[in-house]
Amino acid sequence: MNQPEPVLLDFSLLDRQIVDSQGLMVGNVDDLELAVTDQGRLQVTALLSGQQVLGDRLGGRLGRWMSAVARRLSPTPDPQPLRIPYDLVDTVGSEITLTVAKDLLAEPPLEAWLRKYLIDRIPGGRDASQ
Amino acid sequence: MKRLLAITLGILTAIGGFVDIGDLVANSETGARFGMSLAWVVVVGVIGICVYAEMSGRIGAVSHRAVFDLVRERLGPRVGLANLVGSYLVTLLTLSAEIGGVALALELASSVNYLLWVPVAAFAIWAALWRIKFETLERVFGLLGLCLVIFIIALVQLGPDWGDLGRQAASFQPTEGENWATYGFFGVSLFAAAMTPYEVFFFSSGAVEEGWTRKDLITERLNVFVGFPLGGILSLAVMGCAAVTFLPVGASVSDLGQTALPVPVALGRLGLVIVILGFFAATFGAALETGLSAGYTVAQYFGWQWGKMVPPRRAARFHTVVLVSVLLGLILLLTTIDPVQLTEYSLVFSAVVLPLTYLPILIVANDRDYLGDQVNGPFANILGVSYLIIIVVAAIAAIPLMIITGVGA
Amino acid sequence: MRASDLLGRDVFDTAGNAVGRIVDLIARHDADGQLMVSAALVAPGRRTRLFTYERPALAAPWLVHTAIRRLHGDVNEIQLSDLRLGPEARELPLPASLRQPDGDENS
Repeated sequence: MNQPEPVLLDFSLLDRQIVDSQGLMVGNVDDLELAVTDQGRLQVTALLSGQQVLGDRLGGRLGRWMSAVARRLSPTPDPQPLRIPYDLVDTVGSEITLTVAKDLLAEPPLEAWLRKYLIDRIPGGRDASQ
Repeated sequence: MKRLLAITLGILTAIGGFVDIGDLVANSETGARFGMSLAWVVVVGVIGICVYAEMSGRIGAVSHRAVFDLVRERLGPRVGLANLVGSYLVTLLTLSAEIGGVALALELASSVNYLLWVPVAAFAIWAALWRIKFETLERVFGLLGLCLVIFIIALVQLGPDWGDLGRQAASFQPTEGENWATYGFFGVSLFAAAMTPYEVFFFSSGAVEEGWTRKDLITERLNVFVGFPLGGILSLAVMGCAAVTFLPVGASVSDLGQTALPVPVALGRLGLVIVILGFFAATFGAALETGLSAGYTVAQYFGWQWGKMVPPRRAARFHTVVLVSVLLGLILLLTTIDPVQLTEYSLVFSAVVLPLTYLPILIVANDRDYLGDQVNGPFANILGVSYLIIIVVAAIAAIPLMIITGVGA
Repeated sequence: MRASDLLGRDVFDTAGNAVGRIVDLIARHDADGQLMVSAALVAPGRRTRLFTYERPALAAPWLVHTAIRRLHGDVNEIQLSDLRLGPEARELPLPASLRQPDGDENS
């Protein structure tokens, strides 16, 4: 585990690319989930990723519009943001590396939908390029 | 030969920056109206893009993060989004123009109207982006684009008065019949063309696609310091040919056919064939560059998996953006808008987006968490800050000049 | 709650005086390896982004550095327990207080 001490939440975590243990891209850190512990302390519990989360964070008319678009583009009626528990975070540096592979995390619905209904329908989408 | 193959990423990126459809016609038009008196702008632009492409390539190789990752990270999601919208629009307009350019090159070759070639070109570009390996695309079009070296040969063959050309280049003022406003507008356009943001988007993402690491920094620098000056020399050759052919007779240049003219004049039929091949390769290469960059910017802003280094089904959103961008470009062209005009407008908007792209690069190039011991030395920082100032000046001057001169009329 | 709920908020000291806006949150790992927020970086004036941060890892060009410092003014690190989200607020409006037990983290 390689994380700076102390961690600046906005500077070091927010808006950084999340990468899995194989180097594949998972998403950006669009927000952080904070929780108040029983002892009354504030803990960073999870990374949050997703266009709706980003829209909520941007706020204002722009943010609301982005969240609305994200909801409309989502195939499920009530999309949940991608939530990555903080203990899956390995290193915090130029990118946020996780200890697990991407497959273990929920796939963003838009990616799944586009893959199934568009990309896989075009010949050649499955293999690596020639 | 292997050495030559290693620098094709730089060459291909430079093609998009110096000899794509917009640059070919603009450089020719500049030569026809201003002779070589704006040549210094190309030199200034080459140095600027070398400085920043080297930084962005270094960041890509050492940290595997491309420029648009940095834009959002350093400027924040709000300003980053403003940059995204601006950069995407500029890249899309340019992509559309390049598809048109490919069609125009095919028209020159076949005498079939370019509008009929447009759907063919769009499909071919998309199919190449879909199926062909990044490295192959880079090698083929980087090398074929070098056919444009024919302009250098043609210039020499035309037997110009080199002293005269030198005097024009050193004059630093508008030629007869032009004023400071048009001189300024063409100067800003040339500079913005040399430093268009999609060049650094493409080069840094290409560094990651190629799998460059810290060990490849020598290759990275070779790509920059050979590729971009070469692009600059080619664009000066186009300018020179036009200066020699059109300036003395006061003719103006506005299309690709006229841009090509000095070459068959100097070198006959074979020259014409080679220059058309060069146009095709350069515009096709630039279309690939802008098509991918359209995908890179959006995907990197949102954090999606991007790149041709994974199969398309593993980067569905990225490939959808690329597909939609090519389609939008196609539709735009089918409205019969002149592709060359498109680039002139997009150039000016890109001048405004430039500062928001280059500032994050400069900041991150100094960040040891990113680059370890490969951070900027004082020389790179002096150049980086100087060019940032020049870029801001160009950005502020761009739109007023465009309005005053009526887009360079 | 989310980090974005706190970032950019106007904050006040225990006496109810405005001290500025939260520019960033400082967190440290505790003995169990959990990441705990202990303090906030507060800047007077407008909320701006911390483009760069004063630390040994950064060697920014002097001009960029001073320009940015002038933009956001001097940034202070203040313990969460010394901050309130409102001039009249007794404590931050959370399910439990943000105040930490004495003798915990040092600064």
